Amino acid sequence: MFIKLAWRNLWRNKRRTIISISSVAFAVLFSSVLSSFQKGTWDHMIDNVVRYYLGYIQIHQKGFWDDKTLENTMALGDIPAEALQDPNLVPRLESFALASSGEITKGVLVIGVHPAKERTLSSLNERVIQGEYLAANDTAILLAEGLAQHLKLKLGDTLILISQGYRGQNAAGAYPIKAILKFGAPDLNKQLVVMPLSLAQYFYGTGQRYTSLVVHLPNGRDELDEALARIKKTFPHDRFEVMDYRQLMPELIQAQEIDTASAKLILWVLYALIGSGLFGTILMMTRERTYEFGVMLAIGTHRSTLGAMLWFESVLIGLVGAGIGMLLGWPIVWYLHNSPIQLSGKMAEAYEQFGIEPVMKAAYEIGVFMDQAEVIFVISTILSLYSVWYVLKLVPVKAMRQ
Amino acid sequence: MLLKIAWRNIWRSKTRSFVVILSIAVGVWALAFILSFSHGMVYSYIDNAIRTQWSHLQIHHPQFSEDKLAKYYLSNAAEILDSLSHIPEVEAVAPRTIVSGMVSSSRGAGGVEVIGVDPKQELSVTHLETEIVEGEYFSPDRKSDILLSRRMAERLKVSLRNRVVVTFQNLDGTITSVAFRVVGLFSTGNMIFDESRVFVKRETLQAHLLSTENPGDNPEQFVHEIAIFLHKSEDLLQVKKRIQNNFKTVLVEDYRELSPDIELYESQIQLSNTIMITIFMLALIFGIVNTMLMAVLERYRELGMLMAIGMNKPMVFAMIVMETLFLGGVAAPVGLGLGWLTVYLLKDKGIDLSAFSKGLERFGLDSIVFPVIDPDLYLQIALAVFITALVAALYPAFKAIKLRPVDALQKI
Repeated sequence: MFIKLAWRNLWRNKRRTIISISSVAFAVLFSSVLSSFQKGTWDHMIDNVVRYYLGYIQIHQKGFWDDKTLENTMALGDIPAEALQDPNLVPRLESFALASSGEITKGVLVIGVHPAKERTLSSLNERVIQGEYLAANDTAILLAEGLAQHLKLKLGDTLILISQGYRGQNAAGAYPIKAILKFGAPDLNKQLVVMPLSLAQYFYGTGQRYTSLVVHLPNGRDELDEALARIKKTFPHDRFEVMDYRQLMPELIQAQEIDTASAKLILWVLYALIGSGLFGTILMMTRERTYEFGVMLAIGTHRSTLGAMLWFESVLIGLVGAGIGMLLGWPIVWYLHNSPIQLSGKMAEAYEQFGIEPVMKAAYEIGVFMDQAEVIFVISTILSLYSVWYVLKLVPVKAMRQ
Repeated sequence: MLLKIAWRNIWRSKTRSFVVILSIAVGVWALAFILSFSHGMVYSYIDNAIRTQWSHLQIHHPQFSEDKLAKYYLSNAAEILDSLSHIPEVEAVAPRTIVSGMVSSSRGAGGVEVIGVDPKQELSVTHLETEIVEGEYFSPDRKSDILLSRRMAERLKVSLRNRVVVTFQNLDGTITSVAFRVVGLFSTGNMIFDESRVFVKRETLQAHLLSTENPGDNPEQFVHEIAIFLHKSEDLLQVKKRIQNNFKTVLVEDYRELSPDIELYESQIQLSNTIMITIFMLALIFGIVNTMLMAVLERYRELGMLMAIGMNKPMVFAMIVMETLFLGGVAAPVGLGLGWLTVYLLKDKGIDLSAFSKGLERFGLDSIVFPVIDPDLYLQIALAVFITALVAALYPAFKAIKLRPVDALQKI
């Protein structure tokens, strides 16, 4: 009954209702597109690093992360026996080296991988843009595209690597380039050299040692917590450190947090403005209808029914507005999700300088939209409290005398 | 006369006017504060970047920025330096010798740019000394001093007075290793800068650029970069042109060209200001339109009367527009005043974001932000409020002049 009344009341003053609804729709449209964009861009960036390189969880010898030297590596014998059988633990050996093409020299990141396991973990084979992916017993390397350009090297050329190996040994070698890899994350694209694990172990003279075991999670982030708990049990914390991706790249996670926080602040202010516009409307509507309320009370309408009706009117404006905002925002978000904006020129250069892939992508998630609807629901409920309070203390006789 | 009526009209319904004024004022306040905040953040970044990293201008061999190879040095460096000393707008210059290579200790290594500087001249350009957080700046007599960033020292696991080895390829193509002793650690707050640079004395680095003593080569000549700091940044383009005209074979670049991030920040801040102002104003428009519309419809009878006794349509229109402008006119100064007050109160303390310092450092931003008051910004906001009020007034004002006096008077 009061729902019907509320609905009809709204349409008694069409113009006003339409303006109020469009203000809400505007706020929801804007904030859902902004939030999707913001979330999508960050998720894309973090996912890229996590999926194609870092992994969700890494296991190291205790103390390795703070002091990344080859002395802090784990030997094959250190690894708990049950973990050795786990196909989802992917071993790596990572260190730095000076890479030279003869004329040009640059510091690079060398990573020794298990070619077959890396295929399932990081789809490393899909990064190949030229040449062929590694086999376990190759004596060749894969070079990131940006690095290849810098060193002016092509497929089949030879790269010279010089470094310091395990326990201060000299490490030097010359290896043919078997493939060129392309990474989205500029940090990787500019400095990564990949070789088979056994070759890296030989190059650095480490024998059967690893710097890290990367944990492959077939279901991604969803099973992170569970896997973390399981692994912490297998790898005692007095000898190993088990870190998730948030600990592995705190800078990026913090940068995301601060960006999200500032976007939230802007949205809150926006909602405050839309809210005060709505409040103005509700305030006047309530005053205007004093006489009507008086009559309704006089003919026996319960104050609670009247209050519920007013609450419903305001929530209805909010929800219809939110619905329209979502309907308008949906195609925009969908489009930006499927065809992300690729920045180019100076802008792209600047992003890359900060190690950010110059891609802006929207997240296509229902949650982002629902958040906005929730906020609108809360705001319109709070605002309706004024009119509810007004009718609760209204004296019919006085009201009708006006 | 009309002004007076309009002004009195808005105070007839105090609550209503008050709600509109409040919402505009809050919007303006938030806008002024947020924009001051982001300006503070970006300008301190740009300032820092010019002061510690890029200077105003830099001169290189045309090929050097593409391939940072030792062989692309400035062959006429001495001549350029001499000519720069005669330009009055130039405050200081610093010649540098640069090679890219690897710095390593017994416990770690990292790829870096090794920058050879003249300790004295460098001070007047980049104030490197003020960035030193531990140890000291170059000593006049020791040749093998090296300055590392604190980050790099942590990575290499070295502390003051430890030895590190710098490995690079010299002009003959030979891989050369030189031992240095850490005398100071610096920290500029910019992660990328800190992780990618080490500083040594120029004479030491130059001496190792050729593996054999060759009497024909003057090691004084291996200057790869000349950084120029100006008295006033307004002279930038003029000085740049002048140097470029004098020396056609070298590349002169200003900080915007050198650092895409500065340009990005500068253009982004303009863009985001415009977007923010537009969005906030759009949000305000709905509230204003609704309120004014009600104000008009409520006063149908009164407006009809006014028109019947001879107020013409343009006057009614103008009256409604003025009422709206007055609302904005009262609200905007209140909001701007509050914004100014907030910024003023935070002027000395700043806003401490050190909880996010690692994330900020990645983008070269300070953890403590000092919002700045930019008069231009205030003007922009005031103008935006004016336009918003004007636009918002149009619909209600049209509604008002469309009424027919006879109908209006007959109502109720």
